[in-house]
Amino acid sequence: MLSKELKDEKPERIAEQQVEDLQLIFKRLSMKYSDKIHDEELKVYSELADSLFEVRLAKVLEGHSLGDSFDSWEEEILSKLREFYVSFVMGHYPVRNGKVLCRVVKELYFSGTVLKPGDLIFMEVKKAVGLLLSGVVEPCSLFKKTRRE
Amino acid sequence: MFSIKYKALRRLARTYRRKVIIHDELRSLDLGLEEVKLVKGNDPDLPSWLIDILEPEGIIGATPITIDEIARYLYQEKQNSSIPASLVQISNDFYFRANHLLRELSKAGNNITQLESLKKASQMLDELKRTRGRKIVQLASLNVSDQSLINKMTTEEYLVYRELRNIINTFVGDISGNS
Repeated sequence: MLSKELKDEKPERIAEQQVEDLQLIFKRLSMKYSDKIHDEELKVYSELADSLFEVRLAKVLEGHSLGDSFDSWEEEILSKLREFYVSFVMGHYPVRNGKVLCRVVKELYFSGTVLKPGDLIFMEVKKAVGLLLSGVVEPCSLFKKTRRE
Repeated sequence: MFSIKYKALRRLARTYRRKVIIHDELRSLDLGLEEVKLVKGNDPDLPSWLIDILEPEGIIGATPITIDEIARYLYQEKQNSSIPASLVQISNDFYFRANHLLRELSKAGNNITQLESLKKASQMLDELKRTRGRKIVQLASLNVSDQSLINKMTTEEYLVYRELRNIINTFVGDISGNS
């Protein structure tokens, strides 16, 4: 997979089934063996998986699409992160004491309080981003759309 | 992006296969993706990471590159050092094997002969890389896409060539407004 990924400028299509087949092999090796050879083998393949992630992520950042590959969710996450980042830097969100104003989308238990959809709360940026990616909150924008759109 | 790809390539190189000689029989090895049978007298090709484990234990012997081999490639490469299309074909695992040789020679301790060999091999390898590197830079800047020339590059060299060619093409496109 990594070898093909390095040969082409565009991301390769990696079907879920291909990854599931690999998962089965590595799970079996991890459970069955614990010796120098297999430990090293799993380390080598872990590093390859790490590089596969890096190379494909870099391609997405360069504007390529992962299509219907097993990791296509990365694109959605990156797109939300990118939009938040740009809007945050451009001052589109109300910010107070380093906290960003968010609107609750899904009911949430936060700091001892139950928050309902529609409630507003100032949150630390890191928490706001985590909950934004989970679809639990969305930052309130001072403008209808970002100027990039 | 280049450093990410280069790191990936170096990691991938650990899965490249090389021919080995079996010294000591082992039961077959279940590697998950394949089953390896180490039978004395056979010369199978094994992934490099496995060779790195079995070779120090004396179970197998790798076929290392020799200083003479590096010298021969360097001589051929320098014959037409200013002509980029004269790139000489070297095996895909050449640099991997050459680095292996350097590592082996560096274990010499105080053995003067081996230290001299290390110095010689290291200098020749460096010169070979630089000579080939110059040709590859020229091929990329000339936007040459002749497959027979590309086939003469190792995977690492091809990555350098392709990235350089893309950078130069983007730059040229930007200047002429075609990007």
